[in-house]
Amino acid sequence: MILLQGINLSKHFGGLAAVDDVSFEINQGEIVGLIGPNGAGKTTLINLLTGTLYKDGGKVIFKGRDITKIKPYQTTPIGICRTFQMATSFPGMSVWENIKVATLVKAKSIDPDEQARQVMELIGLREYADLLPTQLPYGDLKRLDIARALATSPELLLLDEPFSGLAIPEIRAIATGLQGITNQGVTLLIIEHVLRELMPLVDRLIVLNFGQKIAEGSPQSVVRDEKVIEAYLGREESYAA
Amino acid sequence: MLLEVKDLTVHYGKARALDSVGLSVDSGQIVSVIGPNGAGKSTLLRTISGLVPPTSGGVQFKGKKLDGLSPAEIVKHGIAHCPEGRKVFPRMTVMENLRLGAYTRKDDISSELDYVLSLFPILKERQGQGAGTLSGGEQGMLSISRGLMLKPSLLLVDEPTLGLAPMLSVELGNKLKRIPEEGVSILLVEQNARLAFAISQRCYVLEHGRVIIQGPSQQVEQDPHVRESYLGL
Repeated sequence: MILLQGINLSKHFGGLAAVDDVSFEINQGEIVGLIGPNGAGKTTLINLLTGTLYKDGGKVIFKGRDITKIKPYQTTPIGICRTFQMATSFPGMSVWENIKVATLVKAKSIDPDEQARQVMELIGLREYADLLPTQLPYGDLKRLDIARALATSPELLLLDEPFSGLAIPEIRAIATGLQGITNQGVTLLIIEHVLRELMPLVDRLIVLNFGQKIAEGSPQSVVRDEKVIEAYLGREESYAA
Repeated sequence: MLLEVKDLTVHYGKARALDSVGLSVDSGQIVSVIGPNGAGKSTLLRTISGLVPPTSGGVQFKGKKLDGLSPAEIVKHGIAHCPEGRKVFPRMTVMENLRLGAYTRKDDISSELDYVLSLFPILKERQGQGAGTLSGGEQGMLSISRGLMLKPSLLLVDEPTLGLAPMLSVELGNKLKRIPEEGVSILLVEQNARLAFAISQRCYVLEHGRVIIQGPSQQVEQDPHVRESYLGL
């Protein structure tokens, strides 16, 4: 079942086509990686999905409903939540409070305390419940970001570089948490540059370069695609002797 | 040995950007550092220039320790840095940008000026023009030229081909390749691995803050782990 559909999405910054006629689908329950070199348009694409940026063209369909004109604050109530490249938290609130405040968006349908407890358990933050974010190492701050997004009970979670700035053991801890999230039926779209750690996690990859979708498919097929190799490693050219 | 980086570890706040990196550059060489986004390549150059303090380890240049020196002092030792994004002074003319590159010098700068203007003739045509009006490729040439005006022993060049059309990248690569003839060695950070292999004698592959492969560029080029470090499989 298709959960989210982007159709002919475009965004220009002046003369630069940051996202150029990109179409894609995400199926319910999938983990999809969104990759591409620096400046490929990955974050811009997420910003178009969540209404953070106005689209120059294209449509977004979520669960069969046209959400092209959605505002960022309207995304969380309908089941789309995102994180950002840099971990951000409410500095004056404890880990527990940071998570609980996010559950309130769904307070009518869920028990906030129970929800916050479950999320802390799943992401492995229980022992830090009473600490302030400033007392946590960066890896745990990134996990707090994911936990807070998850506390809103999303159906689709958009993660912008959840592994950036982390050491390998911290990345693995997050990857394990993400697997736990999908087991609960949450669909994930993950932007990442740490491809070595992303590859084992994803069902499918979408590759952007210069704003265009240049490849899509299983990790195995994508890494053998010459267009992808060129985008990452450069073109074979002849240089002067 | 011109430059020796030993056991360099760098943190940004709590995040570790470089992890015990070792690297050396000999006189007359182009040495390249490649690797995926976020590997720590720019951090390495910024640490050598004194812009970022290391957590541990250090940098030796011409046998002298640079530890704790300010960027201004490191420039005086003969290391010029062409930063990522070129960072020319947009409201100054091309000529003013070039002269600023030689700001710390007391001697005659005319031969370096002649050299950069012959290396990049377009800059001669544009010398009276504001640097902000140049194209991206021309700003890249100006940034490299401004570095060369210092008459450095070592030029640090960070992603000179970023955003350039493939043909312009090749042209710039060919120009960089000729610079060591003037007694200037280059430590080149590049995302474009294939360009780096083509113009450097030795190559280091950085992944996640660590050197995972190093050797003669032609040898590194054949290593299947390079593609793997960029693409993960």
